[in-house]
Amino acid sequence: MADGTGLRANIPPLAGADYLKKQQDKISCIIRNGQVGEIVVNGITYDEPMAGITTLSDFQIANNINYINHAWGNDYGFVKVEDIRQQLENCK
Amino acid sequence: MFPTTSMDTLKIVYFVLGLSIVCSAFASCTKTKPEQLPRLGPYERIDGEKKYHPVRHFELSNQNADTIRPENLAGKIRVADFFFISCPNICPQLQAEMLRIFEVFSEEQRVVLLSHTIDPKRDSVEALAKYAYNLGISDASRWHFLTGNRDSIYTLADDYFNIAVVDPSAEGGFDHSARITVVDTDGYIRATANGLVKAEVDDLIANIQLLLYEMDNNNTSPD
Repeated sequence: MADGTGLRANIPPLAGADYLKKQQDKISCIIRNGQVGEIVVNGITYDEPMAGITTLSDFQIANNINYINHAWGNDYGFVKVEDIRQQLENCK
Repeated sequence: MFPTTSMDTLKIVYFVLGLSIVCSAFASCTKTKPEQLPRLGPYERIDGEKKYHPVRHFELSNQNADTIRPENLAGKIRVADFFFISCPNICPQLQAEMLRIFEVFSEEQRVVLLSHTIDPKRDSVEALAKYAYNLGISDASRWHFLTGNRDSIYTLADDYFNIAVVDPSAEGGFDHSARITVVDTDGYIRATANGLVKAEVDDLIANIQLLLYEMDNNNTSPD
């Protein structure tokens, strides 16, 4: 879990996750608003809801994304707070 | 009091192992008792003796829609926690630790896991069945995912040293603790751990093994 591997078929992994790599512009909205419905990660379909964390600021969300983008061997680049603000505006 | 640091627990386990080896050679020491885990929680003093409160009776549904009461768990050590499926923060890690405990005792029929949802409105029997399936739990009698009346679950949580409250300002809408609690076959709490601290869960696993040893040797639990 703390190693980014998720929780079997209930929670998708972040470590080495193609979804994280390819859908960078969606991550901020998932963190703030949660995720409902099917999501395919590394070829596996996950369909358990996750609540959003509304208490995190735009800045904190950017920091979180920069962390998961570089933890567990991930190398998915850095995001700027400005980009995150824009994305969060669009997913309101 | 809770005397078990990891080292203490290791010592106890080695002591028990040592005893069983020595005792196989000398029948005379079969009456020696290993250290026992104390009962935990609130108690009253009656005639100078501590009387602990067992976890109260309950009636909940598991992921197979079977009604589960303590009577269904007779003779089993209960390992209990409180969670909810859509929980964004602590539950995933808590459930990962429960899964670790489950795997350690996968062949031990006298240990049963109980995960209570604190979000029974959303976590229906069907939702819990899917969650259990996704986790790879095919036999509900080994790990019950329980739902039912919300107030009953929240009151029960108190008995298990957990706190569960509805709080719209909390992440996911609920505030709760991540305690894993071990209850003996008489319904008394004998060990507990913070489910977010791996070392504490390691101790808890060792303590479950001590309780199994106690059952094997027909030791009565402490008063």
